[in-house]
Amino acid sequence: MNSKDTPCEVEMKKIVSKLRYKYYCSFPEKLEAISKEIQRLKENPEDRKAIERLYAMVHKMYGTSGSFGFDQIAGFCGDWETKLNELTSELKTTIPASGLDQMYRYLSSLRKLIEADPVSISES
Amino acid sequence: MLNKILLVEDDIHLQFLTRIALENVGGFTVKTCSSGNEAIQEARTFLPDLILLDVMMPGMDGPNTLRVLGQFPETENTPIVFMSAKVQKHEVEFYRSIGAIDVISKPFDPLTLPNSIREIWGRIQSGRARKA
Repeated sequence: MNSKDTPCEVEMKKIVSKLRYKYYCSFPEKLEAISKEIQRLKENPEDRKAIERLYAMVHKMYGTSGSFGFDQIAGFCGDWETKLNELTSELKTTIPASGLDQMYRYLSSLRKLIEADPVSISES
Repeated sequence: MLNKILLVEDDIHLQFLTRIALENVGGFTVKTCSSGNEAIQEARTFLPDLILLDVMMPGMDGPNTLRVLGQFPETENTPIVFMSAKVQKHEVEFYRSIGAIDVISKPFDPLTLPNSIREIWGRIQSGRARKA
């Protein structure tokens, strides 16, 4: 907290901090949902709905995690979204095996990034 | 005067954070919706001064919600501000071309959001005054 903060700002920052931690606690569920969509794509690389759902989840994590101050996670999700855009715009009907491998690597890196976030852990 | 804001955001965490900021920091009266369909119902009874509308939502997305809101006399003139992480030049031009007054870029700082909304509202009022 900044010493120049008004009581209202101090109160607001406390509320945001609590909401931030609640959001942080929702990450495992989000990672699981993302993992399921990648698995669906592995079983059927032409599953456009799975691509759309995966894209939507990564896109949402980008916008929301950044608004909660998880800048690294937001930046990472932004890169992932760009990669998804490349894969799905160049290959309209399917994601190749190499693309799926990349998705798994992105997921693994995101998991590590979340687990290593010291700010979030300290707020528990 | 800007008082009532309808906030349409399907991410429940971001919706709550934004609502708290608009109410506690901005002093606005806020009603929230989680989908385009819900927004269309609520907007016609809540009669907001301004609608903050997420672009990417499951089901009816922001642009389609804007289009439908424009078909009802109660909401056809309500200013709509999109919230989006897709804010490249051509994307913003598209939002404006279909009738959005402005775009709030995601991620955003919830503590400064109310000021951004007031600035946008100020520009809307200036535009209206010039037309009158």
